[in-house]
Amino acid sequence: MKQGMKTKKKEQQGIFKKWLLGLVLVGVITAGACGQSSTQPAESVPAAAAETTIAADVATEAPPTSMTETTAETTTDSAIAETIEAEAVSVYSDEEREQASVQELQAFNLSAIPAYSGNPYVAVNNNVPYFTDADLTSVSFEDYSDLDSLGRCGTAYASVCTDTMPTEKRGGIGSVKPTGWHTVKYDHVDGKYLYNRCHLIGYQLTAENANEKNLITGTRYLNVQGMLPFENMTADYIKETGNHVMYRVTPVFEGDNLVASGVLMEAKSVEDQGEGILFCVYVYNVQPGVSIDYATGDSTATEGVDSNPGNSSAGSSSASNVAAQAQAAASQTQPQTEAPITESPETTVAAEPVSTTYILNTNTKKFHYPSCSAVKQMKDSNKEEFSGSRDEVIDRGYVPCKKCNP
Amino acid sequence: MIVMVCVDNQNGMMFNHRRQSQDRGLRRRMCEIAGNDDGKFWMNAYSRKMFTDSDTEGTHAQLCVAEDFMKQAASGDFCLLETEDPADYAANLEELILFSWNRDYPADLHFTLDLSGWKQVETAEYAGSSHEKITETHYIR
Repeated sequence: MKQGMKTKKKEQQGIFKKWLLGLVLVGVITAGACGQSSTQPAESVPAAAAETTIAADVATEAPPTSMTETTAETTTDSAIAETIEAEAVSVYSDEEREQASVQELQAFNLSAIPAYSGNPYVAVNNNVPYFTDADLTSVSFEDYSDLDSLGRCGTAYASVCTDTMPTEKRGGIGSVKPTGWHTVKYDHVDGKYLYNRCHLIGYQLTAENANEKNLITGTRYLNVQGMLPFENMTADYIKETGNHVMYRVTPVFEGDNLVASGVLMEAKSVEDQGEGILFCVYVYNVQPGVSIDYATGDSTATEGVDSNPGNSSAGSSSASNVAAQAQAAASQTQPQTEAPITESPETTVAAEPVSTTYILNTNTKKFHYPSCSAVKQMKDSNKEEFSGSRDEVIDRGYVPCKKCNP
Repeated sequence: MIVMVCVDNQNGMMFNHRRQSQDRGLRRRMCEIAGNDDGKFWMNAYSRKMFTDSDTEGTHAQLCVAEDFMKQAASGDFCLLETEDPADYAANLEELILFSWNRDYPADLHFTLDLSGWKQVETAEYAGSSHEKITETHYIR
């Protein structure tokens, strides 16, 4: 399951405490939402009704470290004539952050999260993660919560450094079916597929491939617009500094929903006490133009969206109104002369993990069929063969060639 | 002044008062550019902290640090602007060197300078120390 050499030292008590924190986070949300499904248009995903409480150990957290620098660096090199004009840096100063009350640090209140309004993420707790000073460790580790009774992921938590990062290309993850998983396409979705198998902690950080404890059903929008930018920022920082980053991702499920409403992403760089990396954000598991039933993962295009939804449920078939609406919408928006996208459940369940051979151009980040003319012109050094699903190639950041349209 | 700015695919510059990314190779490149003209290379202390001796070694870059460096820099001086939108200083910019990471990062500070009145005079692509492709584009008025 692991790629490459890793150091995995688990401080058992501390890890369990942190894991428990995540479990409480998810559990309280689960209990507080009355077990009702929440079918909402992407534009109005509701926050949970219940306040979500972080475990008690956070209550003792010290106020966030002041990020105000008081001394400008004055090192001079014989080849460099420096003029130090300032003694103080205001860049890190954030009075709001420093004044964040202990009360705020004790609770992640999902009900305070505004409804999705066009931005893929929103800052939580003034962008201060809920780590305690004692949590910060420069010993690399990874911890993934066990699946709950519904098979859902919990908190994924790590101290990420270069030794947890991948040393080889990512393998296939199509064998994992996270809760609420459906293979469904919409024309207006980037790459067509509504859902991705979203790594809680991105592959580029901890090299986890098909770890079912680290994969949730997430929209393309959550994966690419929401989570990936934070993973990139963190990965770049680690590569350039060699420092560690405390990194925690908690999927937020309401009630017994099988699809998370969103994820809480927290990160803080260790050696510089958050000077390089510090964020605490809620990322919405929505897809503009698609309404999602978070209880089941069923979906339908919202009104006014020119879309061709095609469904193939990998889970139990749902006779919900949402599914019926999706079928109705599909039939209304799909002229009979068009190639049908909708696939029958019988065939798609079996056909879903289709493995196809693609040629990746590691320079242009495009992928092609092996027969594509562009492949012949490709430098061998940029060429990489990949076998897996189209979804997986796209997950790796590649876009389809416009010539062969794989 | 000649201003250097780093942006991501969405013209983002910073998130939560922190730079989106950094690259040792790019820092070296910046010092080489500034050093070629023996120009002063202005920045604030936040940016200065990122630079190491190896970034400047062998170049003629003169690193100058001030919080109000955009006011102090003279004509022909180089400036690395990380923490403010260059649009705030549009009237003072003689040349712009835009470094694109070609990646997506979170952002709450963006580059909003209107480049419609600018002329692109030079562009180059190269790999950094941790970035596969950095695009360097020079604009003049």
